[in-house]
Parts: sequence; C-alpha cells; structure tokens
Amino acid sequence: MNDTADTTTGVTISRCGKCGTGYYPTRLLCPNCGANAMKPDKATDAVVEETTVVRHNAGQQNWQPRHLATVRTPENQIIVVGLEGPAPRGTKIKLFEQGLAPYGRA
Amino acid sequence: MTPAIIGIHELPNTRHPAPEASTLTYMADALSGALDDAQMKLSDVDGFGMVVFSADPDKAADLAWRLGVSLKWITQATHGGSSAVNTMCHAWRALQSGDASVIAIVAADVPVQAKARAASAAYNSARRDLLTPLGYSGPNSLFAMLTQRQMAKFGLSKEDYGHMVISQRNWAKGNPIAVYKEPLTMDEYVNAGLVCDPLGRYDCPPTSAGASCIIMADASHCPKTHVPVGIRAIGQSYNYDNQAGDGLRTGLSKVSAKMWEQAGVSAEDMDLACCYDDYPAMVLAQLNDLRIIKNDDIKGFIRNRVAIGDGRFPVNTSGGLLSAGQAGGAGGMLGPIEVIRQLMHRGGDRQVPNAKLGVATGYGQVLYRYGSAVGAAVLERLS
Ligand SMILES: [Zn+2]
Repeated sequence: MNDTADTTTGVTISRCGKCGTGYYPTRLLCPNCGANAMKPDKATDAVVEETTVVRHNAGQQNWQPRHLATVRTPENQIIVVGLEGPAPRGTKIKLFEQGLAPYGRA
Repeated sequence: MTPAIIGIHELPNTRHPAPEASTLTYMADALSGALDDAQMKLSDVDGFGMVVFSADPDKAADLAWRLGVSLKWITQATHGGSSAVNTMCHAWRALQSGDASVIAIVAADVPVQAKARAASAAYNSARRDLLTPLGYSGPNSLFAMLTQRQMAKFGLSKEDYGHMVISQRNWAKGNPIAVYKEPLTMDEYVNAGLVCDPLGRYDCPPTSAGASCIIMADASHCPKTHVPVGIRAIGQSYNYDNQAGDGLRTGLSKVSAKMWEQAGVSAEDMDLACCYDDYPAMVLAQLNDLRIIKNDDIKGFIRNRVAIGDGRFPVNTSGGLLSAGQAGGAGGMLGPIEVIRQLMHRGGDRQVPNAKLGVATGYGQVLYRYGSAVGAAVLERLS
C-alpha cells in the first residue's frame, strides 16, 4: 500500500437505478433486470471469508509478503482486498480505496 | 463429411528455449510438423486458428501471411486456457458447414519473462486496476482462496490435492516433452515451500515455452499411419455467472448435460479425461462438472479412483500443465492433443490400453476472481 496516495472511504460499486442491485466491480448494464441505469455508489463494510499471503512475486526484489482477502459485503458483493496484516475469517472490516484498488482495515 | 483430427505435432516444453527461438519460429515448427504428420501440403490449408498470446503486435492474419497460408476461414482466440478447445469447437463447425476443408490450429508461446509478467499484471482492466496494485502476483492468490473454499466445502485435505499432483507426475514419466518427469513423493509435495497459502510450489504450473498444432479435415484424408480422431460433441460457456459465485462450479456445469446428450455417450464411457490444470482444484472442479465425479463426492473420487496406483482413472496423462509445463496458448492445447494422441494409440509408454473415447477441456479467462471461459470436446477414435 502506498501511504502517500489519497484514500477514500468505501469502495466504488455500480447500483442499478431500476432494481437497486449493487455490483462490484462496476458494470455497464444490470445483469439482474437488464436496465441501462447504473449509478456509482459506495460499499463501506465487509466480512473476511478467506485470506492468503502472497509470498513470492517473480521478478520483484526484496518482496515483502502481502496479505489479501476475499471479503463479502452485507449486499453480497464479493471483493478481493489488500489487508495490512492477517485477519481471521469473520473479521469485520472497513473498506477504502487507494486509486481504484480496494483495501480493508479491521 | 466427418470432421476429424488427422495430424498432430508437439514441440518439447522447455523452461529454457534456445536464444534464437521465438513464438513465431515455434509456430512454424509446430505447423510444419503437423502437416508432415497429416501428409498434407502447406497449400492444402484453407483454415487457420491461432492460439497464441505473445505475438503482439501481429495477429492471425499477419501470421497467415508469414506462414504462407491463403485462407477461407481464420480465427484467433483470446480466452486464456480455454482458447485451444474453443478454437477446436469452432473449427469443427466450420468443417461441417463447408466454410473450410483443412484447418490448422496452431498453439504456441515462448514467453519472455519481463513481458509475460507485464502482460499478466495488465491481463484485463479489472486485474490492472483492482488486483495488481494490491501486490497480487498473478492468479496464484485467487486460486489459493478458491482452493480454501473447495477444501472447506468438500472436506479435502492437502494430501488429497497431493494425490492428484503425484498421479499426474507419474503419467509425465512417460511423456518425453514434459518439463518435470522425476517422481514426486507425498512428503516432498506436502513440505514444499508455500507460494500463496495453501498453494505450494507443486500446485502451480511451471511457465515454459512450447507449441503444438492439430490438423482438422475430413476423416478420409487421414494417412494410413494412424487412425483419425472425431468429435462427438462440444460444449462452450463464457461468463457463466458474472463472477458472482464461489468458482467451485465452472462454466462446464452449464453445458455438460447437453454435451453428453449430444455425444450419445456418458461420462462413465470415457477412457480418459484431460482437464485444464492451472491448479489441482480446477481439475477436480471440472471433473465434478463433467459428472466424471459422481454426486459431488470429490474426496471419494480421489481416494478410490486416483490414489490407487496403476489402476487409476486416467486424468491428464501428459502430466498436465503441472508436470509438462504451461506454455501460454499451447498450455490449453496440452489436454486436447493428449486425448487425441491417446485415441490414435500413439501414447507410447503412457498409452491408455484400448482408449476409444476421451474428453478434453479448457478453462481460463480469469475476469476477476476465477475463470470465466470453458470449452469441452468429447473425442472418439474413428476406425
Ligand atoms: Zn437492475
């Protein structure tokens, strides 16, 4: 994570203006109702489902292990986020963005 | 008209290609070899399918020109590990409809490390923007988490995956083109260094250079040196679930029932199966979707049909990507060409006795969290 980059609360999702379903990552048309009415919205909370540690990254010198997690929002959006450290299954996290990339903080 | 595969050729997979080798020279060698095998001339080819990811900026038409083939039918597939099977499916229909009469499908890649890493980091906009900045190192992390889900849902242990990997390694012993042929023990498998928890070194296929080609034409054109292989049925699926699920079902779950119905044979009739094995979890997921694994009993399949030594059900008899190596686009042809080779009874030391029917799959195009594209073909020995 780049500490100098701007961060924003929540991660950007698409929400259908017709049926209200929210999607991550963003979509163009609504898979649920077919409407062409997507509006940007935010998802702010999620729960950790699985985590892993990226221990190698080919071609990178001095690679520090990175913690990634699959998290689920209350609306069932499933997001792969970066974490600052280990977080067991069931950990509640707050979502934020750096650039476009999604992160979570316990 | 009975469309069939009448010629095949594979170059040895290698981690260290000769300095003068390139994706393009590999394509030329694969095509030449397959034409020789089919006893066809370059000028006989009127259809070309290109399954290559590292020829930029050249496209299929550029390669047709460089290779010297004039065509009525051309296609280039960009669906990752599914591309080769998808192309074979399209070629089968093109031959049936008369749009082409002799189709060469060339699959090749000679990856250049730095370029391959850059291509993986920006595979699509979702990966470039949402995953790569996290410290994502390629699909290993995604399939590590998918494997955890599979372990939890089906009660699988690390050793269960070990049986799959070791079985494939035992097949690789009989495959002269495989990168890794030496036996692998369960101890070595379980104690291998972690790449992305719980995936270890032997769960991730070694990137290699490789190329292969199949020639498809009417079965009557097959030379007397071998028996042609026909296609009984196909299935393809793209973006089957909008990436909204757990990835433990693949797109095959949407198309396999219809494929078996079209084939007029069932999963139990298969003498072998080759499923795209970017990770062992995905071999199990595909075998499950094909109904070769019954009633979701993945653990029972491993214990009773894989971890039993020589009488095991033949899965990925080339050694699969995990032992033979993953050569980009050619990686997706590894399974289909192995089924074809076995059905031609040209399997050498690893020949499955009396193989008459086999199924080959491709799986790939990781849109965000798992693969979105699949292809499958039920193949048969025509004699
Ligand atoms: Zn909607």
